[in-house]
Amino acid sequence: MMSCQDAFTDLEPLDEITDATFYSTPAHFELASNHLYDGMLGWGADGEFRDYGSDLVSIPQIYTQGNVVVPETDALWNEGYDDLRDVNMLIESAAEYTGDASEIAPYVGTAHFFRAYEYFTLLQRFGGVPLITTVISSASPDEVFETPRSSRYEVIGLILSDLDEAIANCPPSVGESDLGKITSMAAKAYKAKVLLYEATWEKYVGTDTDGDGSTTGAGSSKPANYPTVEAMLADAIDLSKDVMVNGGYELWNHDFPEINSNFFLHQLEDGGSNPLGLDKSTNKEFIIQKVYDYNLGFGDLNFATTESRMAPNRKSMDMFLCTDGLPISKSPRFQGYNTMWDELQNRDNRMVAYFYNVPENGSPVLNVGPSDSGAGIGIRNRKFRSWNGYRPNERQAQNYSILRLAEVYLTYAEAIYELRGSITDAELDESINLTRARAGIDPLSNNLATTYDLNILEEIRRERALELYCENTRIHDLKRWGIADEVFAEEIYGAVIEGTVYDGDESLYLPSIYPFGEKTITVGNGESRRVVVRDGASNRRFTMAHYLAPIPISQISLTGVLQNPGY
Amino acid sequence: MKTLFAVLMLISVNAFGQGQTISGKVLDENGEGLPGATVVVKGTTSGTTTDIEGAFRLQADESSVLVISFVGYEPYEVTVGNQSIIQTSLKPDVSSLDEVVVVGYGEQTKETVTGAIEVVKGKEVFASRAQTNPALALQGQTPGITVTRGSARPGQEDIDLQIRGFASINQDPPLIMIDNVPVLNAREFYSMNPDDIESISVLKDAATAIYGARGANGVILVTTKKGTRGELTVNYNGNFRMQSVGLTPHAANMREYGQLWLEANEEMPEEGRNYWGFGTAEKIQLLADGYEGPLTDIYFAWDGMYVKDVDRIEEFFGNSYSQQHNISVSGGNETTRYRISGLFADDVGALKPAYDGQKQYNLRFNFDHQLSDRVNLSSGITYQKRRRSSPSNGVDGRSFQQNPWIFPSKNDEGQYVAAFGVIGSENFLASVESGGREELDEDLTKINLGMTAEIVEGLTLELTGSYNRRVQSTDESNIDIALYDWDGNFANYTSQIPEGITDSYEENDYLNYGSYLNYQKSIQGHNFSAKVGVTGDYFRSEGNSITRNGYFEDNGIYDINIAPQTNVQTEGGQGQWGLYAYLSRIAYDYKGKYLFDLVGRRDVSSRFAEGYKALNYAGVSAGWVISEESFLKGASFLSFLKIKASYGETGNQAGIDQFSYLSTVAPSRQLFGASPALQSSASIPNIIDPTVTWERINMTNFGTEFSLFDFKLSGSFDYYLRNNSGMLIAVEYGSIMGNDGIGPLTNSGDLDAHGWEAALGWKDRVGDVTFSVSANMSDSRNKIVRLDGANIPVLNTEGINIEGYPIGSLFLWETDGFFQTQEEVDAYYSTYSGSFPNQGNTGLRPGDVIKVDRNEDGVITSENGEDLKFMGDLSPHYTYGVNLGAGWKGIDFQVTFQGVLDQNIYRQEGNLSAPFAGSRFANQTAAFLGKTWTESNPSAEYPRMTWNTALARHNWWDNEWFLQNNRYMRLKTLIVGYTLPKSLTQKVAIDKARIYFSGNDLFEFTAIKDGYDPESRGSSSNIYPFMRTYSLGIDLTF
Repeated sequence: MMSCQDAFTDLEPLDEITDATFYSTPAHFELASNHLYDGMLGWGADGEFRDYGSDLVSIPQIYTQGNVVVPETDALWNEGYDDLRDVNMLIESAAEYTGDASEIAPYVGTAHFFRAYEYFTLLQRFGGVPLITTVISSASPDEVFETPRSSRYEVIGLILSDLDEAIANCPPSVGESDLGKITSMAAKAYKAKVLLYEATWEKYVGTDTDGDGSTTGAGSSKPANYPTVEAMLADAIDLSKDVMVNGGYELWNHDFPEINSNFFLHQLEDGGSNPLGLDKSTNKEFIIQKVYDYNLGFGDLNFATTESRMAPNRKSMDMFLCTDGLPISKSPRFQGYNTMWDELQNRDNRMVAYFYNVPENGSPVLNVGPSDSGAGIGIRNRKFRSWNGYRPNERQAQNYSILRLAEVYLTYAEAIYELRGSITDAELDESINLTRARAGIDPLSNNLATTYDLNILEEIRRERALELYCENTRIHDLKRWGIADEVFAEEIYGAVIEGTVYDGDESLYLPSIYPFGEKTITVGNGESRRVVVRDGASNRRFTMAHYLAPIPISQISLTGVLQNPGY
Repeated sequence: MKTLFAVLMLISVNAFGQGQTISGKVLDENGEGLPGATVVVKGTTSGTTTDIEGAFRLQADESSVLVISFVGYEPYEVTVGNQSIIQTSLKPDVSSLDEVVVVGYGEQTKETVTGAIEVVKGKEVFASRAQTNPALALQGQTPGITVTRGSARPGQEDIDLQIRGFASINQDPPLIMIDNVPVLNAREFYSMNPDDIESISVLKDAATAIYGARGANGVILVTTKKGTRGELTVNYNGNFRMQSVGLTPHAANMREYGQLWLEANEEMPEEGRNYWGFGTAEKIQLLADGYEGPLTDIYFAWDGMYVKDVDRIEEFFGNSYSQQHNISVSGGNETTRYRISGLFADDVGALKPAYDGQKQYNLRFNFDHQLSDRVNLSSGITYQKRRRSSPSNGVDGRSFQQNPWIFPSKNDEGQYVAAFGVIGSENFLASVESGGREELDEDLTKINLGMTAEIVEGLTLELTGSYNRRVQSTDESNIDIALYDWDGNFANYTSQIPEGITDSYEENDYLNYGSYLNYQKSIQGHNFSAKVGVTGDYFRSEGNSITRNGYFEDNGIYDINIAPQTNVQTEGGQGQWGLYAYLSRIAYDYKGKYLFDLVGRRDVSSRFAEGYKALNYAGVSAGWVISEESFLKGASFLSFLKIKASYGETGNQAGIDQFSYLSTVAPSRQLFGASPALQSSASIPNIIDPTVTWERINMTNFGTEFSLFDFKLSGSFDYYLRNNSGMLIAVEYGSIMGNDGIGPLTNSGDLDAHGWEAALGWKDRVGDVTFSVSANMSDSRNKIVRLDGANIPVLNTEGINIEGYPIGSLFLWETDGFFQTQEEVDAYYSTYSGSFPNQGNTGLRPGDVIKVDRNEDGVITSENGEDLKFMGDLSPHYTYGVNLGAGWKGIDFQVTFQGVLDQNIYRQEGNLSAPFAGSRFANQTAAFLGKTWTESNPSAEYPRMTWNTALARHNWWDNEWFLQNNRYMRLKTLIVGYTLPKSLTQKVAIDKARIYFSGNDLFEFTAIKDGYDPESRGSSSNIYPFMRTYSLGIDLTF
């Protein structure tokens, strides 16, 4: 009778294997490390990761308006630790692996990279967070679930040591078929990014957002041997230089008959995505990227929305230099504001690469309600938009850049200036003058700066803002520079009205549809002009507290972690 | 046909005994011949059944006593004596106490049943219903069973069957058994031929303990019709149906849409106005005025868009025509009985532009054979096929919610018009008509075999085996369609349907075995019966699916071979589970007066880890037929009175996956490469707890059944208490664990429930008129006593499970009417902070809802739950049915009303629930137009209109005041039939001919204010209209 019963009740799964035998061969580690790429940011990420609502775009977002409500749950918090569970499982299993450790080294290195990557993503959002480095489950003791937040310094400590592991274990390069996988060069570039971020945060923000660690925040406790700001900057410079010289990366720069490389780089798919028939194999600029494919996995985003959400505002329009390398307030080449067409003349060619909808010799219509479609500026964004509608809105499949060579140049130049308070022309020439050249503007030199009274740090930051426009950098940058509370508190302006074709022409512009009306401000060329107000001062309430996102309520009640100060 | 009758007659004659030939006739109460009545010589096995005229012939001695019996009539005994012709008329048995009731693994008479069991008779409920799905015919029929449907789409009704409400937060449908074999899934029951159903027993209390781990949600036992001894009978029953659109939500037409936008701006301060891409009030006014033509000088990308007042519901839905035909042939003799039946039904949905419906084909063959005095064989073969065919795109709620009804679907040249990218340029007519089809075929074949053998007197061995095979294949094609502007130019938009073809296939095999020993013994009024047995279930599934994505030429052929091979995705999967059980049932009664019943079961399951696989269940019940006691025999008004009680434990395996106790490797894929290609990847995502086992539910039932005044008035009442301990929940941990902090299912919750059911009916006869009236009502309440981790109320409108509250509880903002003056608003802002819009152009104004600070701390927040008000649960309460029946000569009449007295509905999801709250870039509901707060209408029922989504949500979402009561009463069924006089029909060899009208859902009274159908639950996306059905049918017996 019993055996009869067993025939019914002793069954095994028919279509999956159990974990008992997993992690016993290098192939298993490869499978597991491949899965970790699932945790990378990509096109489906929240708009905040495309710099929606930054000080450079036209449509405001409640986050940078300082209108933040403490949420019940936070998807980023959850996803971060979901991914870390997989990472920790691989690292723990590697420690128990009885075979030849060198065979699994690249996969373990990859796991360490991703532990750094996940914690850095959490750190940028929340500051210090609980450090979980083992696999925990519902059967783990209660104390594990009560792990307090580590300070940001302790988190950075782990990130840096994990990146060292990645640098030591990941291969220096990968073959074409493995493009997208983490190499030791990629880990170096990422480490430089982390170092610059944290060094400048410590320099400009300091401990202001840390809380005391006993009633609020994660506290300011520093691990032993924690690097100084100077050491971090010096390390960032060395690592950047190593990547620049030995990485094998190069700026993607091609001679396009129309627009320019700064446009086509950001929608590079197969040969149909640009007039020169270039495909993804030509891209040696992206260092860390999430790979997409039109057939096998396209971007989970309605890219049409980026046209309005990334539309520029007065500030960013005025920020682009003239071709002589001078700001519009100083350059004789600036053609004035009469039409927007005029504004685009003799300027940084990224303006044309990123933006469209300006009629020849004219200005776009502004007559649309304030919340929609780049209104208030009329211009629409096309950085990331498929060339001539090559792909439908929701099926673009260009790779998502998490870190590219241009940023390494910017990191290098900024770290040098932050460390020494100066930078040589040679150093400028091997870094940001390369991206400026691609954008068709003359190089920055110490002489030019002296002659025209330019602040070199400001110019490096300007180049960073424009080259990495809407690439998940601007909001982070303003915070680590300690100026986000000032900058986000500023009003957002649109088109210049006074003394332009808009003034009095209701077919182009109906003042009544703008709730914040117009205001006379000092525009980019130094003149006082009336401009459209896109978001008024009453809406701009970003403070130091908002540098860090609130810890979700559910996690406070489940694990007792402390809320960030100010919430 | 006549020769067939003759042959069967001959077979019958062969069985006759010896003696003189007696002929006779058995009549019913109307003096008509009663075919199929049994005439047996008492004390022997010789007998016969009456023919079509009610006549019989048999051999019998003078001293013989003939016992004449027929279901539903009191048996009649007559001594032959010197009569050679015997004519008798049988009296209807109004008490129906002898009626056999199918109970768990056995049968009892209605008199001796001790459990809470409802019996539904096929001929009363399923005959002449213009309803292919038997579950829907159960609505309102019996207390304690709630049937709701989420949709009226044929084959996609989304039926929810519940017995006695929630037994757990993990709710499965009741266990459904057809001829004592569990169904593969509830769909097998929904797809069965209602004409095949002899009766249904609904087991509600702990009598279900004999079903152990599957008994907690109640058990439905379906018994199919068998052949009857006697002449071959052929029955045809068919009806043709017309369905018309019933209640539809009040989606705004163009004029209303324009008015909504105008009002939504009028109620805003001048600086806070917004006319979206239309730009100005003047343009919107055009819409409100019913303008048809191009709109110019608006948002550049829309410039030149052509607008027109369209009624999308009218465009999409209208009358539909369905039909259903049943035919059955049955008959039998002394040793053999058979019945063959077939059904064809075509149920067509309301969709106009394309076919949306389901065709169903059923065959059933029941064959019983008596091999010898001791051995009986039985068999049943079922084949069910359904083919559902529907558009694969465009029939969801988005079709009505997304685009405002201002875009004609086609231009004058018949091209599909783009909605100008307003809402992503979708054209839903294009999707429905040309966006591809989904064809679903489901075939189910089931073979039941059984044998009973008497070993010694009173002891029988019973063996059963059943094999059930289900195959389902789905072919889905998706076609992207080019869209044009009004002038016929390509609009640079397509319908945005990712093109491709998906072919999926699934097969299930399900085996069920049983072997049982039955023992029966009666000694001097002590009746004893027992059953022990084992039963095993084994289920196995296998499926796969292939998708080829990409453009293919639309030639009307949608096979997978047509689509390109460049982007192919495949998926497989297999599963299995098994259950083995030991069961027993012991029943004892003394003279049908004192009744006891004891059941037990041990379930062993493949779904749990070693050491946790088995669990025991037991139930006990007792009854006392007080009316049999001598001290009550004198009470002539009291025909019958029984009290009963039961207690038992059952299990629930809802929510337990096949191998959730095992940690498994999940394969996945990642893209890499300069020429991107997929590489394999894997993870171990699930967090497991191997100690998990079944939920354990105990139930206590107290009940009474009574009949008064010679069985004219009958009623019943049951009260029950139910407790679920070890309810399976996924406890939430800190997210630092991973898996969003969601732990594995563990037995970590407790639920208490109680409820009652009552039924009362009167049946009588006045002259030629028979009539009956009956009503039933039930209610069920529950409370979650323990739910680890979930004890802070959370704002919600879809029902949430919180410790201390019922399953599916609502927690809403308490509100205190609307602000009437600016001073009130200012005072509010200076007093409170929290979850309401900031001051400014889009801040609160007169006409907005006032949220109450319940804990009086100055902060209005959902954070700790203290400001939230518990507003009850979402379950229907006081569900009821009223049945009326009458007959006069050949005319019959039957009406069923069904409804709910108290049910919360909060319609928030989607865009057609509250104006501008879902999305302002979409269509809106016009149900509240003209009823909202304005300065001149300060006592309006609804808050002020606003285009601002945040404000609209403040006013309409999550608020106490917008909770609706879904109280309704619906005329579920109306049947009027006429049976032609036999004298007439017999001339054309028709034994019985009846024509009837049958209507479903003909009208309703409802308290719902926003126009939705009361059966559509709380969804606003569920737009597919509920239909009213009018049908004409004919029922012929040869």
